[in-house]
Order: sequence, then C-alpha cells, then structure tokens
Amino acid sequence: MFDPDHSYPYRRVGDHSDITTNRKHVEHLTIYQFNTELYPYLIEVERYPYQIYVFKFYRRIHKRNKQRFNLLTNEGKCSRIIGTCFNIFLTIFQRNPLASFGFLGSHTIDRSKNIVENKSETRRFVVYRQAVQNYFGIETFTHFEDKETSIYLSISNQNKDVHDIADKATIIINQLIEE
Amino acid sequence: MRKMGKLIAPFNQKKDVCESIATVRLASKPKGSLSKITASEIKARRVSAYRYLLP
Repeated sequence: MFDPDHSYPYRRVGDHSDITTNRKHVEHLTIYQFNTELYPYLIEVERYPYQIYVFKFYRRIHKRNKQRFNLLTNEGKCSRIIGTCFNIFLTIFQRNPLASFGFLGSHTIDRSKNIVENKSETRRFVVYRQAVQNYFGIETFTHFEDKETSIYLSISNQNKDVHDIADKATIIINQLIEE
Repeated sequence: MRKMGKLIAPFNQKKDVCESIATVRLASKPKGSLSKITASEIKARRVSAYRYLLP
C-alpha cells in the first residue's frame, strides 16, 4: 500500500519558473502526468521557499475545475497514486536532501450525495498523514501538522533549524489562507 | 499614605483576568500554525509492517 514500487509510470509535462500569477510564494512548478487503468491524472509539484515541495493531484479532465482537489474519482486507486507522489518526491530528495514534503488534505465536495466536508482534519488529510508516517521516519524528517487546515509538512532534518522553517512556513500558510 | 496592597486586585479578580487572557490567546491561535508531531505520537500511529522509504 502506498508503495512507490507500485507507482504508476509518470512523465514530466510542464516546468514553470517564476510563477507569479495566482500562485503566491511558489518558486517553481513542475507538472507530471500518469495514467491509471481508467483515467489520466496530473500531479502538480510546487516548490516554495526553504525547499518545501507541495504535492497536489487531480484527474486531468478536471484541470480547469475550481474544485478539482475536492472531487472524488471513486476509482479506488488512492494508494498507487500516493505511491506515485512518493516516488517523485524520492527522486527530488535524492537530488536535494534539504527538500521537505508537504500537502493539504482537501475537503471533499460531492454535490450528488450532498456531502461538503469540514476543512479541519479531512479524510484525505488522515489518509495521507498515515501514508507519510508509514514511509518517512523521524530520523530523516521532523513532522508538523495543522489539523485545523489539514496541512502537513515533513521537514528534512538535514536543514539547520527545522523549527525555524516550520515557523516561516506558518507565515506563508497564513498569507495563503487569508487570500 | 496609600497602601500598595490597594493597587493589587483581589485574588479572584486576578484569576478572572488570567483566564480571560488565556482564552483570548487560545482563540487567537492563527490558522495554519504548524505544530510538531512528537516521536511517540508517530510511533503509536505508524503501521510497523511497512518498510521505510526514508528512515
């Protein structure tokens, strides 16, 4: 489960530096594509200051949908998709041992079932957190979370001051949330 | 001459003030404030059957 050995083959389809429009604080954006048995998906990897890499994924067909992170695909391939994200992060970490891994567990919106999940400690957050803690240990990373916003950050212990990075990340998160 | 003791609030009143300050501080914890997860929390939650990708 969540194992990168079972990740989907992926390829890079986009590479953007100096993102300024509607992606505040993002220094670099890389987009990957992979295909499950049913659908093509996109993974966006945003690099923030302090070598923080935030992973986001969604079905390619939902690319222009504002709720693309909130939709359920009901495909049942969550573990392999997360394994694919881990695989990409491992590649980044091999190149850059200061890299930290972050995500936001978006709340689910399913109009057909009349479900609008609360934003705190979402189901996605709980599942992704479990996956991260199963595979990324405390020797390599110091783990931080904010249950209220469902944000998780594993900071590489090779950084000089992980708590300082967490504080700076909090400032960035606050600015992003306020918008 | 005025006694210093008169300037100090009675015990109960001080307690109220302290509690209200604490309440305000709790209420004003900014959204998105990251808290460290302790090693014991992670060990308790982790499913040890999985092998670490990074220890």
